[in-house]
Amino acid sequence: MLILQSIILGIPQGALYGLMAFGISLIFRTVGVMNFSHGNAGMFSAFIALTVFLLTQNLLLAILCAVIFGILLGFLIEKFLMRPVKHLSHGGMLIITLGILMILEGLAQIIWGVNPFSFNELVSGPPLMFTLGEDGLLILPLNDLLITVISLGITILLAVFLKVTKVGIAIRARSQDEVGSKVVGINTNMIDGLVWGIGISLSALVGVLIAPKTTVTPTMMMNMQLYGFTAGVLGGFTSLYGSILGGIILGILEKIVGIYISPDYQLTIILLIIILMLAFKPSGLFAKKFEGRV
Amino acid sequence: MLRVENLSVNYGHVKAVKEISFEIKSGEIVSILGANGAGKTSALFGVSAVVKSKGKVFYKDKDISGFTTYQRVEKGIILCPENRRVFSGLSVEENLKMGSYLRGNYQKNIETAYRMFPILKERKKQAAGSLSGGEQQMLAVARALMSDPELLMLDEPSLGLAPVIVDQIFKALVELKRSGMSILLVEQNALKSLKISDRAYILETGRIVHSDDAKTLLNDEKVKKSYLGI
Amino acid sequence: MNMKKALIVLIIGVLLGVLFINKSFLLMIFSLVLIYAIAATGLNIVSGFTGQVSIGHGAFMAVGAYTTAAMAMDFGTPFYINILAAIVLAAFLGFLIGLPALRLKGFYLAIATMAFGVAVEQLFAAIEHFGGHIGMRNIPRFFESDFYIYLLNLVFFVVLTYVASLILHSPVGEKYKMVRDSEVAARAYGIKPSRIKLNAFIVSAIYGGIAGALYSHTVGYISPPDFGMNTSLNLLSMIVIGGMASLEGGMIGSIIITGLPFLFSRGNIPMTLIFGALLIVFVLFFPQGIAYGLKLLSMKYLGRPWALLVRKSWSRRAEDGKYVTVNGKKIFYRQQGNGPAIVMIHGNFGSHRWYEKVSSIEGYTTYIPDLVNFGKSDRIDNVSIDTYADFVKGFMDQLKIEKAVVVGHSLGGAVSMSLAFRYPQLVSKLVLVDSAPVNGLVTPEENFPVLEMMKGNVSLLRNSLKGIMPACEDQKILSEVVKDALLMKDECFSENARALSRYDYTELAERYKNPVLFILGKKDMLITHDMAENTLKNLNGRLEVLDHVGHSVILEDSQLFKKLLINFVNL
Ligand SMILES: Nc1ncnc2c1ncn2[C@@H]1O[C@H](COP(=O)(O)OP(=O)(O)OP(=O)(O)O)[C@@H](O)[C@H]1O
Ligand SMILES: [Mg+2]
Repeated sequence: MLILQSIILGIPQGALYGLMAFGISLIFRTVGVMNFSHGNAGMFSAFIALTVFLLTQNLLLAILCAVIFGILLGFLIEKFLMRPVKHLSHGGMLIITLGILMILEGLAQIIWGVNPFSFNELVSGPPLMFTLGEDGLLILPLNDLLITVISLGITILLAVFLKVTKVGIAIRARSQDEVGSKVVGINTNMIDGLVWGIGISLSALVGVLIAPKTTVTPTMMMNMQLYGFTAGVLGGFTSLYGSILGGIILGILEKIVGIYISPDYQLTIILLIIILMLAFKPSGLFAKKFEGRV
Repeated sequence: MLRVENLSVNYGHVKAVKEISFEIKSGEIVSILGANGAGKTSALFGVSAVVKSKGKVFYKDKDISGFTTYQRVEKGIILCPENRRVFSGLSVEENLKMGSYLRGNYQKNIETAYRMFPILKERKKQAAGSLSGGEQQMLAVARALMSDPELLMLDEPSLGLAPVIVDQIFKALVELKRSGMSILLVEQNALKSLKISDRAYILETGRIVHSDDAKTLLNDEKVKKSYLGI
Repeated sequence: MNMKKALIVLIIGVLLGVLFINKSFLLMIFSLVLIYAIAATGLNIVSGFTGQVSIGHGAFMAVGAYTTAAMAMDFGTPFYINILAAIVLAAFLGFLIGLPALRLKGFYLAIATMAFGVAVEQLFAAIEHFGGHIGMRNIPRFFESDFYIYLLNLVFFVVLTYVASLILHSPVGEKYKMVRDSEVAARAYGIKPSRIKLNAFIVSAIYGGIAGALYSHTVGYISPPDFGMNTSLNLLSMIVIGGMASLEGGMIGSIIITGLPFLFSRGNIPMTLIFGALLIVFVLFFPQGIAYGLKLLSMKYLGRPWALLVRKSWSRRAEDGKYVTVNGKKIFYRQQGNGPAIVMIHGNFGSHRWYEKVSSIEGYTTYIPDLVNFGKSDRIDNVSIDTYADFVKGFMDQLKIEKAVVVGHSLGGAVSMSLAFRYPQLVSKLVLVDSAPVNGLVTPEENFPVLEMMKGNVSLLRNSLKGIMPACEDQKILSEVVKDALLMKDECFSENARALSRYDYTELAERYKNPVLFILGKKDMLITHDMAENTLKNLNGRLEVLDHVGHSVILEDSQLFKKLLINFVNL
């Protein structure tokens, strides 16, 4: 019973991890950069949403603004920070994303301070309840259900976009061969900017969806980013759909650890999984071979 | 059609191409020959702006030196790069679709492509990475043709292909020329490419050391011995 | 860092402490700067020198800090035992995490180390006994006095930096760098990259552990966030800003990252913002960090007065030799012996002195000039190989030398080729000693700043010249040719190198039919075997390769050179 409840509570959480991982993987696969500022970019967008909401009291508008801001931020990061070092060194790109991480945190502290703000859920209302057998009662909060639907919906939408649209195919082409994509006439800089934009807007979305639970603070997405990495590692960064699956597995696992061991060790155990996974099966749970992109 | 003046390509401190000038007239096939590492690929990369270069490039008497790769593609300058560079995770069909990303009528051209390389039609749903080397080369050539090139540049298109297929490709090139396309060809097989070329440039350590009509070059003993290995 | 430098740093440190002995607050900051410098130096060993970027190094500090604190408070054991335990534990943890993580590359390693850092932080926060999120308080401090605490930290810093320099200069340290530069190449030398990386990781873990232990007893209270993500990122910022792969980098970075916050009144601007911005600016614009910049500045300017002094006194010194005037310019030369003429032409940074040991050739007269712009000869404006050669021609005309064997070393080789190919009647035989090749010698653009620096830096010049005569053991002649080099015209430090890239005698060479001997040292770093062969392609010549010498056989094995020369001229 308990385990079923963990799964039910784990899935919405995991869907968000998956969305996080999806963005990170998309950027990594296409541009070759592991974005360590991913979480904080989402955090900053959540603050934008918060501000818009405080001004307009319109939650949908707030979320929309956050997502648009995420796209813009992604474009800017690509254009001004990543492009100059694109072909130089991985170390350099890594350190730049760490720098962005720090800057966004600092900026958020200046603008909004360090005190947490609460943020509204998408829907409020009594949770769905199911009775099972004698005294089994499963609880599914309405908001969680909506989060799951949105996450999966967005994922499917993106998957379709990448699969059938011309630009989507171009993104995949760019991720496989930069020279090849240039010579067929793909504007690779534009594609890279777009990918950064999409990736970060996903983090923005995760930021506003998780905000009711974490509250809005400059460090709200720190753990989310780690979970995103973990989900990515589980799913294998080279497979986009693996990311979502990895996220959901992780979400369930997390709840199980929390219930059966202790919430205190939740993060530690999850993080050990990352390390072991990376060490012994860096290609992820689902991929057949490791492409070893550094 | 295309005029290149003092083109230089550097990789850090390696000077791959040193101030070369050459031109391709409308409807010509021009070859660039040279040993390994002479800078042929780099020169083509320079012309299509895949790498940064110095010097001027004129296309139909318009200075396009500042153009990016895709802007040059838009104008009809298409490179079929060395080592195929197909998108291995995309299907054959998707690869061809990308060929007409900016130019060319996909529906019309794909028919032509499949007619030219029937094997590609058989494999159209298959990932390009699972094709054999030769098939991938065919795909690369077909992909380049998808965009209706005005000036087609091919970098070693016959690499790894069986002689029959090579003949087929060369025959196709002659036909494309007849239909009005200008072609810049880089080939290891110098003899074969000279035979279909109008003119040729010989590149040595980044410099053009010789240029002439293909026929003259074919009959020049010294050139034959030192550059063509015949 | 050698023993001497270590002592100097120690003394300066003590003086600084004494200066502020009454300012507890400052001494505390100094201590923190030292502690973080130790941790950053450790991180630099694995990230800067071995190329494995780690963003979880705060964890090792945590292990060190909690170990000593817990031992001191639970068992009351003395510090020297506690710190040993801290070292062992940090090393063990480094081993445990490094073993799997270091199989990963680049971004994956970064993820793993980040996860590790956060995991350790969370773990300590979850342990009741260690005070959970609040941490531990009232940890016994080393001493009552902040001054003594500072001194202790200073000693640790100096000793650990010294040890780091020993490690980095040892064979293992060389392997670190090889692995960083290319794992493939390192493998080719029989090095196991994974083992070397693990080794570096453990060393750096130990540094982190020690820093953490010092932190515990310096500050007196610890909590998990003290060693969390932020600390790890700060450590990384320190080495990026201070200088990756530089021993001073950790200290410089620590001064900026640890010291800077105290400059700003608290709560004004968050430090993460400034550090993040610095991090990006440095990666984009100064990837080698401040240490490198400082080194460059000191190389450029610090040694300049000394170089000027040396140059001035040396140029005043009387030299035994004669002058002859060519085109209105005085040319200094030495002449020795009787018989047919041999003219010997020195190379770039050279002078007549380079031939001092080979100037007496039985049965011949040797003429050894300082080229214009070099040594004691006059200066000219137009720097080119052909101009130099024209002056040599004028020199021969003035001295009524109708025909000579011409010997040219390095740049002098190019000059003699120009002479021989354009005036074949003047040169009966040509000897090229590690000569610049026939089609010019291109100096990579990045070397020019170094060439310029040599003007003002005697020791740099000395090391460079020493580098091109590896087998030369005569220190006296070395220091004399160094001073001679300083006499060269200022502009020529760069211009000569540029002139060397501006000629191509490949076609001219066909006009010279007389015998040519090309002598090449196998250890020559400037002239390759291919260049020598290419030079001889259109000449009637022979290549003599000498295994045991570098660029300058005339100084490295003058007897052998003499023998080769005599054989060749008497042929
Ligand atoms: N990315 C690069 N970085 C550094 N040097 C390069 C790079 N690409 C090419 N070079 C160098 O530039 C020179 C010219 O290379 P290029 O590929 O243009 O020769 P090529 O004539 O096409 O040779 P091949 O017949 O082997 O294809 C070579 O010396 C090569 O080593
Ligand atoms: Mg090539």
